[in-house]
Amino acid sequence: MTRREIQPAMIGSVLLHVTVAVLLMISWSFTRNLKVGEVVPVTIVTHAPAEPKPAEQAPVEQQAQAPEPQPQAPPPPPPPKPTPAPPKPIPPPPKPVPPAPTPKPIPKVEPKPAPPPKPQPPQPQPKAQAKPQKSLDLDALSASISSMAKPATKAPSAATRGPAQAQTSPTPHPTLGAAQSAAAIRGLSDELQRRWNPNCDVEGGRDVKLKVIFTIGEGGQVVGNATAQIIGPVTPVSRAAQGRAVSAVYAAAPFRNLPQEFYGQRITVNFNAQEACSR
Amino acid sequence: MTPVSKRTVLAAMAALPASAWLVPAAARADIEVNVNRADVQPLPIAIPGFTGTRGADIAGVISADLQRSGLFRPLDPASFVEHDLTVAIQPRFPAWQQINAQALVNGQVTASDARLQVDFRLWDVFAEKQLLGLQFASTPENWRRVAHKISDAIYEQLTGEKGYFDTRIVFVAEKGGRGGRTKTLAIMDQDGANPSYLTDGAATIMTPRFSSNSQEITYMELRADGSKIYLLNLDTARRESLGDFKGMVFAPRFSPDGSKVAFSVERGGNSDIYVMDLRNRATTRLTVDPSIDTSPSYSPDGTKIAFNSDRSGTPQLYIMGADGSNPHRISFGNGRYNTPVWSPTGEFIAFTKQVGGQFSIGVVRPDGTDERILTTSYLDESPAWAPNGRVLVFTRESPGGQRKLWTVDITGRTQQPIPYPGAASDAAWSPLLN
Repeated sequence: MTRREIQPAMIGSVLLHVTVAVLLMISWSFTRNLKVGEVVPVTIVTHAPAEPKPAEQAPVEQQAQAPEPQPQAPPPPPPPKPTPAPPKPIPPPPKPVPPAPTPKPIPKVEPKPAPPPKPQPPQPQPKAQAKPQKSLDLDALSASISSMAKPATKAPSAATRGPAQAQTSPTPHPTLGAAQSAAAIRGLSDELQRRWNPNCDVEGGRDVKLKVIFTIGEGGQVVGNATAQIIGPVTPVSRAAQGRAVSAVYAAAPFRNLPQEFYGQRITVNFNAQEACSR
Repeated sequence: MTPVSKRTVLAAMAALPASAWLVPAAARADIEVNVNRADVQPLPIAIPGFTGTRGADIAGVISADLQRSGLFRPLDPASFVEHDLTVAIQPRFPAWQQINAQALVNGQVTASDARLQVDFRLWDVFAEKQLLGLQFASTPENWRRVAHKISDAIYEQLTGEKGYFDTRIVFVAEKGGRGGRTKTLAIMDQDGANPSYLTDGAATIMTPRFSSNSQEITYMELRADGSKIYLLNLDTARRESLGDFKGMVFAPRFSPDGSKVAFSVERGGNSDIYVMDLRNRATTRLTVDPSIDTSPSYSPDGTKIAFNSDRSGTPQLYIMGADGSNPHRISFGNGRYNTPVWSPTGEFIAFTKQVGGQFSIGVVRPDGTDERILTTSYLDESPAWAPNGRVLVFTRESPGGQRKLWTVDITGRTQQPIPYPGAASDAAWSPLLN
């Protein structure tokens, strides 16, 4: 009696198992001919140190304008590396320098290689000390309006890095005309425009507005770090744009055509991608 | 200074170009400069070969990835001045400033039998600082994926957008001429490398589509006795059918969360859009119209569906709620609009447009504004978005030529073929791999 009651259930169970097995086989036959591209995992093992060792400095090509002594560690003793440039004697630093803890010495002096290979004899130039800050003289500016309006006013060209410019660095002038100041600023602006490469093609890239603030040192160098502020929403895109604007300032420096009256001045640059990207 | 002279000064300053304003501060003579122009160009980047086994190959893949994006211009290695870079020591920045590289990537590969380790550094050349440093580990044969991951990291750091290089493209590989053409389901890396075939060519494969959140695809298989829609999990290789339907089923596409598939069913000359909930296999009809409604594509938030309908007389783009409510037309330009695809960012809907004998790929905002044509040729069709919503892959056919896959960026400026050697069509882009 019991067997009769159980038998249908057993038959059902067996049928069910057989059905499942058949279905599995059918499913297997579908998948066998599929060759799926294998994805092998890639793992991020570690984030690298943020501050690797500073590079050994290659022999620096000297410029006409003698640079400030650099607080830079002497090259570590090192496996001598073959360098393509012929070794030149580097004047020993005038002061003993402590090893630089960060790779970026201050003030930043950029050893820009002069285009002609001919070495220039260093010309002693009167070193302009950073002067106490002057306010811009609006009266002088007013007095020179007429001269500013003249189209013949010679603004510094964007090619401030050209050889001729580099070798004729302006002699410091105690009383600078406003027109010259305005022209110098225009030159600075031109140089920044030439070096600023905003990313207009990413979402939100055209909406970015930034302020980059830096101080001009002797020879038009950027003294210390240029800092950037985002005007508007802080997004990954605006943060990336921040880096590009700061980079433009460093790329444009040194601003050699700026008169020495600007030395020590704080400059605020308003980078406007909305307008730059729409041109 | 008198008020009059101040006004004169201000007038004079206003006459200056907007790019060069002097704005004296009250207490101290801070100088304010407005920069409203720029040298907009793809970012010049130097990518010397990494040191170690496969180092040059890895650098080559990174370079090609970044160049194809249209946002970067890898510099010619012949112009490099500094060689023998290592990841432990800063580069000599002046050597890279000299060639106008704005960014520099260097790296080192350490390989053993079973392990590949790649370190790389990304440098801002003019700010003279390290922007990024990462170390990846994988197996030696997986070096291309490591390279793509590095490309993604660089791209994200320098643009602020997510990258899309460590991804794959599923597509239809075509063989043979018209009449005897086979259409096989295939997959490859986004740069055309590592193609492999997922079906044997016995059935015609159409419209493969990736799930936006997993390595799963859905596609239509056309046989002599009708059509079926399949789901294929690429990780497990399991394939299953959505079931049998009365009529022809086609144009499947996942919802953003992967829990549903919307598709079209054609019966007696009328096509309508349906959706199947994959959790319970319940099917719901979304459009009830005597016209041809097809090509459903979900918005990224899953609340709306863009689709294609000829209810106005010609094929146009429409949007409705995900439940079929409130269908409304968004395209009103000349021509016939087809294959709407909502971008992953939700900002645009890509489409194919036919005007006269020319086909175009374009994008339009979901409210129907800002329509832009990105490409035009003899036959451009079937756009699909990269996961970051900045690049599209599409099919291009030239007269008498093979169908090929191309990419175009959202600006339309960068159009490039994907270097897959055979004929290919109907591609879809995977999400970023894990």
